[in-house]
Amino acid sequence: MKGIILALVLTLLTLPALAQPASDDDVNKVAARLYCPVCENVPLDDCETPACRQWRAEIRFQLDAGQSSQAIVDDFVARFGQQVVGTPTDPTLRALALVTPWALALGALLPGALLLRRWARQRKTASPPLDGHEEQGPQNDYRARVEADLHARR
Amino acid sequence: MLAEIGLGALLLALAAAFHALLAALGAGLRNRDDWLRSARNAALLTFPLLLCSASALLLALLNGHYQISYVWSVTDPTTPFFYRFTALWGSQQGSLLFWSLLLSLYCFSAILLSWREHRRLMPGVIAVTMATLAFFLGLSLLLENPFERFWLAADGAVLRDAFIPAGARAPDMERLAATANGLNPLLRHFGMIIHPPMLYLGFTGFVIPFAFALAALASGDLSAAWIRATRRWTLLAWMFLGLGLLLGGRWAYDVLGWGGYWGWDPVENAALLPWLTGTAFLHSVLIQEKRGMLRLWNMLLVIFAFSAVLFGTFATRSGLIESVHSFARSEIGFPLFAFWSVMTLVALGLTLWRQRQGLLRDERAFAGLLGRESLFVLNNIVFAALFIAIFWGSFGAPLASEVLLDAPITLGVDYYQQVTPPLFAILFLLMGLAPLAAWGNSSLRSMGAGLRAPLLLTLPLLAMLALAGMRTAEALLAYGLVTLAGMVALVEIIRGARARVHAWGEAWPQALRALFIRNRGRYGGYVVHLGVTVIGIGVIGSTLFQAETQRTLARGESLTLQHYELRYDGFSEALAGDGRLLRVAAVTLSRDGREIARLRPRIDVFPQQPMTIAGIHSSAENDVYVLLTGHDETGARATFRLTINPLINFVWWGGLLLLTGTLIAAWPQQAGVATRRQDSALQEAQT
Repeated sequence: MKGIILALVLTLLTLPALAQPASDDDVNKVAARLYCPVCENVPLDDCETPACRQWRAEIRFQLDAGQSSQAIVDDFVARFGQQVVGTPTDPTLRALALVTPWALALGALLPGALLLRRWARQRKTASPPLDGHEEQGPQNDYRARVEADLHARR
Repeated sequence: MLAEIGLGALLLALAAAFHALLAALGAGLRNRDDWLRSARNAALLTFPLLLCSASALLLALLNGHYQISYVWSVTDPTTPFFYRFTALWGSQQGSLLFWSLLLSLYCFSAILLSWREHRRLMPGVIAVTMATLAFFLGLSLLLENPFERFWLAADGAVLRDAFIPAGARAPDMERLAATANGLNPLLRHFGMIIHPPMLYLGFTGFVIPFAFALAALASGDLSAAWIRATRRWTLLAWMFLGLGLLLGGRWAYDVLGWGGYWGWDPVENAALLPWLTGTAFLHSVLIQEKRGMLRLWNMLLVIFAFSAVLFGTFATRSGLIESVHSFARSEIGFPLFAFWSVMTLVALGLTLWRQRQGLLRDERAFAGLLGRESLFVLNNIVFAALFIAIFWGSFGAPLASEVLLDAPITLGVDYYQQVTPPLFAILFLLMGLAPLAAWGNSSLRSMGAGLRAPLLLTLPLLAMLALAGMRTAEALLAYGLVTLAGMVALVEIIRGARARVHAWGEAWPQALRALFIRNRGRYGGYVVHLGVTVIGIGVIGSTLFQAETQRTLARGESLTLQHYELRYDGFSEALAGDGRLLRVAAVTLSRDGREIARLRPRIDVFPQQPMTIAGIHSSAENDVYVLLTGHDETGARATFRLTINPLINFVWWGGLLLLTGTLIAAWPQQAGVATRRQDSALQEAQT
């Protein structure tokens, strides 16, 4: 039994060494999830600054050591903060980032819904002509101006 | 001498703008026509004065007047003529002067064209445009003077001042030329001659609708006059901004070396926000024109469009956000922020005041949920949601998390790819449905009948895509919605022409021509929809189906991706005329074993930074984009990134269609009552 366990442990320890070295594509796949520490808003896989080259080399080293993509991303976040990823991994920040725009968009929907409701009410009380063309033009503008002037004099 | 001329003209332009502002305010308050004429004349004078000032700076750039510190910072003796020209907007001081020049050009044109017809609004229009111009000229003169020169003090210290300091003398010109900076390498691209002017024409153009809106609010003349006066200006600004965005995308694709055209960079987004607001306005303004509705909403959209322009300018030039565009960062952030806040608050305050007076009340009531008005309102809501999502991702979330939670975050491409696709999908759906709905109300049956032909054209295309191997639901849904929207526009154009053919016996080409001439707004709009559809096809293809691989190759080795094989043939170095070192790889591209192109991806090494310039093989089907990302000292081994961007050229072709459609829509309508009546009758028959 001890021999089997020993063989298993040895196999696990030597697996990373036996595994294929990480290709450029493997490195870029992880790097695409991270952002350059120097040039903000530039993904790591597209950045050619020395800092980014160094980070990519580190990703390659970690992949060769058998780390998973997620573990590498988590490691970078733990060391350099949430700004190294395109969407925060921290639950609070993630919620702030992803839920807020929808909440705000719903906020934008509300005035629209209120407007449609107001229109629906107006529709019940008034039934103006449906063809808009006859009320266009100078006459209508003139009337509006007169109304505005009268209103201003009041 | 050029510096003195430029500076003098700039000072006079500021004085003229102030005079115009004060005289226009006085004319508005005291109802003095003579003051208004004086304000007009002073406002008109700002354009030739700024043209003179900008020309002086341009001549200084072309002739290498390196004593002017701006010329020294953006050119050097090796800078080619072409880039000396683009250097006018290559950095903060020059681009601010250029911005003011374009602003004054818009003011000049709008005042001349609208003077007679909209005299009543002129005091407000002149006051708002001149206040904006005076602010930017003030920035130029006080904080970012493009005519500052180098001087040598008596103790040998180098000074920078617009005027000669006491006891100082001009430095040695040859020494200045030898130490000159040269243009930022990122700006050495053909696109740079068009991209910034287009973008600035878009940005500054939004001042005209904003000025007319504020003039209408201030005067209380809230009839459709301000809408009629500004719609064409908005369309023009919107077109230039859209072109600027597309050209910026092309520049990024060619120069930034990452294989894409839109990186959701905060500065790109800052330019997209006013474009989105402008798009919403161009739709909702139709409701006000046709139905007298959405008067408050339209006012808010015009205000937010210009407010977004000012905010974008502040964000780009203040250092609020980091980006490849932040080359022009300086200390003008606070004044820009203050100006943005004041203009937005004043405009919103005036709107609230007039709203309370009941002057922004709608003239008509809603007639039905399936009416074109309702669909346009939905369209506007989705645009508003998109605006919010992009603003939040670019500015809101990073600032909120840093200020409130002390945790700086970056929202990158993955955020936008989660949040924006559903909103774009709804927009394309509405783009397909709204043209089929009638003003007032429509029935499901009539809309279904209108959808029949576009659906019959869309479904076989989807079936073909599925048979060709496209099996993902999101791709089929995206292509379905985009194609349907385009087919609706196409069918509407064909229906209009067919009605003419049947009614008047016109030949098809003649009918199509007459259709576009007689109703430029409507059919120009359909061409814009077709352009957006084509762009959508390109964006979906290049986003969902992009393929990429990277490998280090020895000479003679190859890498393969899909049907393509890239062979590394050789490496060479050369020195270009402007001083950059070119490291060029020679590669051969084959498809299914057949050679299709020999490409030269390269790295341009400037003193400031290296740039990777792709070798691109372009076809209707895709772009094969090859980057040289690294190499050893001798070039025996080099690293290449090979990217296949399917349908990416549709993005640029769609842009051309969008430009064509906008020009058709913005072109002045010819008068002709009889023909209009005929056309109206035809349109009635169609709808």
